[in-house]
Amino acid sequence: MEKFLSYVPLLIEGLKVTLAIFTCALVVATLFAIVAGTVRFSGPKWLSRPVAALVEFFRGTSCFVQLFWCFYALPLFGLTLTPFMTSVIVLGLNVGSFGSEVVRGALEAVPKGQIEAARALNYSPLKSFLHILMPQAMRIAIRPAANLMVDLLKLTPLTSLVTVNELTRNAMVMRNQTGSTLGTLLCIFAVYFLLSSLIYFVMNRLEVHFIHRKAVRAASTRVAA
Amino acid sequence: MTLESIQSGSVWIDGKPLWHEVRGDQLHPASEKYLHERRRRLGMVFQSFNLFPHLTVLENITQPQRLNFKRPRRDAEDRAMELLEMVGLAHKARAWPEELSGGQKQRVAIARTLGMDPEILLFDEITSALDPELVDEVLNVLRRLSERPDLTMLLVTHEMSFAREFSDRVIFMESGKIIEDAPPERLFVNPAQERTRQFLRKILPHTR
Amino acid sequence: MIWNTDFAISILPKLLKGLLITLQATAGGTLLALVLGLVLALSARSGSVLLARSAYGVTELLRRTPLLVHLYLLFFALPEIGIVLPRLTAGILALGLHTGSYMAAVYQSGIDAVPKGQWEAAQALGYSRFDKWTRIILPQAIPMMIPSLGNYVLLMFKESAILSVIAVPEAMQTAMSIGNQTYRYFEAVTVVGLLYLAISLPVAAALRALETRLAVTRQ
Repeated sequence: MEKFLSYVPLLIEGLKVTLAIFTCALVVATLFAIVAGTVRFSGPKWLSRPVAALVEFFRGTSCFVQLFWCFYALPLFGLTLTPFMTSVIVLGLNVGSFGSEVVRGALEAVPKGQIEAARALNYSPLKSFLHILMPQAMRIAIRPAANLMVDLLKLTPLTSLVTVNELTRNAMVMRNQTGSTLGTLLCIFAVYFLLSSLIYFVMNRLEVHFIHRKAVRAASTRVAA
Repeated sequence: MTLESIQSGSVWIDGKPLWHEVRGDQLHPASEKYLHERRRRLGMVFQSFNLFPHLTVLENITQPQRLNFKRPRRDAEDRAMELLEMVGLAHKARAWPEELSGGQKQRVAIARTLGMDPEILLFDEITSALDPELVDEVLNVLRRLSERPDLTMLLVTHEMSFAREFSDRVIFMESGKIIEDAPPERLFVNPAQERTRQFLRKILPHTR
Repeated sequence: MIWNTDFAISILPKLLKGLLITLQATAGGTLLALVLGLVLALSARSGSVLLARSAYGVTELLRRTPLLVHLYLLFFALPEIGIVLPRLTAGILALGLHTGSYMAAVYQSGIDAVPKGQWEAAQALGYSRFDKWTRIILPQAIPMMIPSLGNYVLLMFKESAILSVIAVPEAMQTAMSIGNQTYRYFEAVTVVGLLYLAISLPVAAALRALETRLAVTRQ
């Protein structure tokens, strides 16, 4: 038991790294999702086609394969990044690709009448997009975004396979040292569960705040896949 | 408006074309910038209200003024409250659109359009989506607007009695063609076209 | 040189063998996931509060935790309490449990999509509980769910690469072992990536087409 406890700091270090990857990749994913989603929604063909191809690439292979490919291939092209950076970029673009579909769907889900009203009120196309279309699309996207954020968290253990010292990797080290596999793994299982639940909790609060509808609170406990 | 585009012909407002620029004595299709300027004098109210759900009632009226006419916040808010008073909804300024009834939403929509000081107002069947009980409150607003000399109002409507009582000119159309264009006292009482008579016979049982 | 096409072609047979194992794992996992998903969905709708809450609990426990941790638990932790699973079995279990929890939600929304009137009619016409489900509800719910279920099967196919960490000889593991032997990781991982794309892109397109057709016939 003592031996177990003495390794807890190692787990905490791992947790810090997990959270760091999660946060940085989340930024990348959000930016990519908004830009790519917008381009595919209303961009010119010469831009939306390559973006679509990139999105299909990331959606067509697993994150695992993408991580390994970037880890081995990028240095050959002269791009030497730390495993942390590689992970952040791959995870960010992977989840961001799914996110771009969410953004595109959300933009398309805003009723056309809103755009008509905006044009009738003399909004320029850019202003309509920024002030009328986007705010409404973002509200529609909150639930799917919450699911993608949890997906991102669940991808972080994969980075242990490209030598990042995050939570799962440290847990496996700890397991080797203490001989207690079940205990250690159940421990991090619980940590991931709590983190995911925290994400859902925060996103639900966000949804209630921005949509100010009381009915949302009742439906919010079950976030659909 | 560019909600639709024209296939042929031209639209003229106050001696100047809307969709075209005049150069010499030729009409050329107008540039975006020109269209944007010309559109400023037009306002439109929709059958499905189209209020912005993510903004409060007050913000629905102030935001277009601030963003598109660059009015300072204070002026925009004063104007907005003035208009809300006029449509009888000043007490709902801080409410969200989803909290309002259909009639209230439509009145806010009218106030929102008026905030842009249009000279010409287009109303696209604005009472057709409303519960019968809520139609009156909207027509009352239109009644008051129709008394303003500075406003030209173009209504597409099924509200025959309103059209008859408050319009200066009534146009009866079918399949994109104008069947008859006359003052209400003539069109409703003694229409020149048979098709108009037919229509009125079905709609207004008391008309000859 | 960075890319050797001859080498890339030479490793194709080995990789295809690995792909066969990938497909096996996917097939096994799919079977498990389809059954598990249905069980979880039906339990969540059950009248028994205990069953419904348990189903919800299990689903969330699976959905909010990473696949890699499930895999490690099944393969490395279970032996501690005496259960030793063969590699492929552990892999199939992990994939099935993980994807099954997503499929539960698909089943739920598919069943919810059947119009209320169908339930009432079945009730009024005296159908037994079992017949109501098997003859009226599920036959209407399942066609609608096929695109979503198909997408999750496709997801499982791609995620099966993770089984390489417990040395299941599927496509990714084969690529990595080729890399370890020849130090030519680039060709190995690229070709295996292309193999995944070669299967997933057409399947995804087919599922999209199916979804469009179903949406049309629903009108």
